[in-house]
Amino acid sequence: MACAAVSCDESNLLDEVTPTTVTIQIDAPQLSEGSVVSQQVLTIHNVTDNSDIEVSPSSKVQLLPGLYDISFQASVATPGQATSRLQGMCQSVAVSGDDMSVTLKVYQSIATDDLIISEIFYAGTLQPSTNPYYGDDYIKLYNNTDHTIYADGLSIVEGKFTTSDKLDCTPNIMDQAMTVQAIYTIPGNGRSVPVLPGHSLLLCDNAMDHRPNNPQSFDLSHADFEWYDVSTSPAHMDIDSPVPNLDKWYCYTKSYWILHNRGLKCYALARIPVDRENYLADYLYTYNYEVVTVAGTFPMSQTAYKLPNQWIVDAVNCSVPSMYAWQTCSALLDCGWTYCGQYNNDSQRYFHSVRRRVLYTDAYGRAVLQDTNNSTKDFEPNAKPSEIELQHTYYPE
Amino acid sequence: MQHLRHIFIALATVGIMPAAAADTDSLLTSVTADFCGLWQIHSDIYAGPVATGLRPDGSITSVLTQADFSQGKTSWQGWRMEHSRSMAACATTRTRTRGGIATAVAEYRNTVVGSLTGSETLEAPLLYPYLTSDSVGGPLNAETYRFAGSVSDTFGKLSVGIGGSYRAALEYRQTDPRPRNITGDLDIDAEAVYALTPTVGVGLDIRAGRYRHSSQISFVNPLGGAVIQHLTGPETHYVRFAGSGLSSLYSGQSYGASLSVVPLSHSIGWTAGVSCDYSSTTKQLVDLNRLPLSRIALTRHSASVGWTGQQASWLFMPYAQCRHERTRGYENIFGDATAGVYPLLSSIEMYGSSIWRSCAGLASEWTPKQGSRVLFDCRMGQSNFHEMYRKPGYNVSRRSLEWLCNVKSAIPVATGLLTADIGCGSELRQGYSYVATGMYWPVSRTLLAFISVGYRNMQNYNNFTASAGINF
Repeated sequence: MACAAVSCDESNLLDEVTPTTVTIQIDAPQLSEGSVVSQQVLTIHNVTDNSDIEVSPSSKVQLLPGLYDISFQASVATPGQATSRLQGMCQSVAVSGDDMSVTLKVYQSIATDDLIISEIFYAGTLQPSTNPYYGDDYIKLYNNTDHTIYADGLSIVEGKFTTSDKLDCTPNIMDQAMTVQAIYTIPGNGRSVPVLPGHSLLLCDNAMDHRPNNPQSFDLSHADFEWYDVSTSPAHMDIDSPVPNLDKWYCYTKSYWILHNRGLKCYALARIPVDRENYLADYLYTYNYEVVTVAGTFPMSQTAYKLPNQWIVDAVNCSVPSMYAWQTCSALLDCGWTYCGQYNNDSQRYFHSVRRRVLYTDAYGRAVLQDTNNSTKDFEPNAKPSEIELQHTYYPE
Repeated sequence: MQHLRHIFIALATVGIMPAAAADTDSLLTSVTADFCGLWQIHSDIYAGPVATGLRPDGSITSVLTQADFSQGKTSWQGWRMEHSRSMAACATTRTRTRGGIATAVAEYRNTVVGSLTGSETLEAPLLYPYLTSDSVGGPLNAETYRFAGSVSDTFGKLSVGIGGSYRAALEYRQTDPRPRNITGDLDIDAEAVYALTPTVGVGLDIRAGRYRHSSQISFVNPLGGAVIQHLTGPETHYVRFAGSGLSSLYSGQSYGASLSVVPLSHSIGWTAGVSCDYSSTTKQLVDLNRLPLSRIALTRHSASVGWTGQQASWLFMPYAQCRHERTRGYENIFGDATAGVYPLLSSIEMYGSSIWRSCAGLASEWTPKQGSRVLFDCRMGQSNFHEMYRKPGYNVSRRSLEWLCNVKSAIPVATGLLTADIGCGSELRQGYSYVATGMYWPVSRTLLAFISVGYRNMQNYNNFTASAGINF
């Protein structure tokens, strides 16, 4: 038989690929004497196939050529002081060649002792007709500490860049500041808006009972503040409900601001130490980038406002898993991202929010939320919104 | 592309042979056509009972309609198709010119697939593993147009021919997600046969092809959507580009050559051939400035040998053949886009497959009386299939015994001809069986009508076919 003469030993069909030996150097800040670093985790994420490996920070790693995100997190115990964290992230590391070295800049983040973002409901709801309903988006702030915090003076901001479209901006200021396009500040004299430990502050778009307009929405008339915009577009007017408005410092839109419906933005809380006029005068940021299409290369220039990283007390990157491209703020602020829906325009995102996970409940029944400055770990994606949970309103099971 | 090229090539071999000596009356052609490159020319017009004594010598035109219905599921490496039905109309013509033969084919086929998942296109076997898929799937409509033609001529001991075929396919779904595939597949062929002796010829065939396939996915419902995946193998895909590549383009080319030895008289004598083909298809993401995401390269070699002898009313042919197909899948790794341009970091071979197939068999044809023929064909062999991915866990290695038993007959009944074709076998550990029968009868002195029905089963997949047409 002819078949008997055929040799068929092909146990290795693939050509050998020489892996790249990657040396990762951790560039950590000078720690105070006696500090003990523990729980060091160095995670290498393959951007192409979405796989993760965790390695020892001191070892050399052999990787296939590709694009990787490298992140580092560790706990630091300082004698006589509270525990702080070391964290850093190096995105889009192009691994190729035989050997290469990567320097990962690591920041020491100390608890800011301020409010944190506990929930963002940006996806909104649907009407019974299945048309999207706008106006019931909200953000909840939470006092995760054991003492009262005054929220007045705290600003909620929205990042300018989308997490789905990476831009190579010149100059790149991400290590120093976050680029923002909306700033709304809680009014007060510094002692006007106390938030007790374990209590929340509800900021929303329209503080009204939405159920008459949309039976599948809920009541937000009990909100603490709303963001109200005096629209210059007669066709798109905002509603001024009888609850205090946030102070509008700046917003990119001439009509009214709503949270990004698909959640492709970064949201942050900041304590801005200068007044509005000085900030708007001194912190304008002009950046350049190029757009390349089949029709040619087009240089682009845009302006936005920059918010120094040291003013920011909490940041949450949001995106869509099938579209995520990059972090739009420094790894000092957030090393991860969270989401609603799985892909662009996913209809399953409606009626869902991102909620911060509960770490534990203390002896007084106060929930302590997880805050490691990594939204991937800290937040529950595609979560049931707390207002829907509290009011038992419509929720697609 | 190459898997379709056997549709039409030049009729050089036939051109050399005297009309009276042409072996086209023999059912053996359907066997030899299976493994000898030059003899594949017989497969369209001469295969089957049409090539009996009822066929008028000289020019012939055939008009055929066919209905096809399949029930059950068939799957292969992650994509799955359920239930399909198709209607086809085909016209072929063959004209004997002074020194050679000219042929033309026009075909239209309309196919409806009940459910297709794991792939956006019915061209999946050609493009695996670099398929585009969505998380929903659904029915798929397909329309295929095929046009082919060839001419050949004889100059002394040399016969030359050229041929070409073009296939255009449109695949679409009318509910979200709405894939829309447009395929253009052009093949050209040039062939020469030189008569070394009055009974033996040697032939050379060279061929090339161009393949383009655009695949677009869209959603009409504003609340609609699905995860669009660019697959790279089982349960893996380019996560990075999953959301952005709703439009992709497959662009490829193919080249091949065959060298054959063929008998020129009554099919008696040696038949042998070697063949080599190469094709390469690149998948590009149109939305990202035609980013070349991956490339699949296929190399195919085959060799065959057979000898046809005659003993009284029996023709018999022992034969052996061997084929090897090697597929390599290369995935391009890109860095972050700078100004919209993705720098290429590396191109890594991430997928490889190999299949060896070899068999030996004996075909014999019995002519009990004028106009009657019965063909027996038995072959047995072995296949070795290996599939390997860079990401371990999905590798497959399979060795299997392959065999086929086939009986064909053409028996005159009254003024017509009754044909039957029955067989069973095993391929890649999947058993199959089929049965078909047809009736041919002369409507007038120059018009031959025919009707046939067939059934084929493979595992849980059942296929029914009915055809009707005329020859004149």
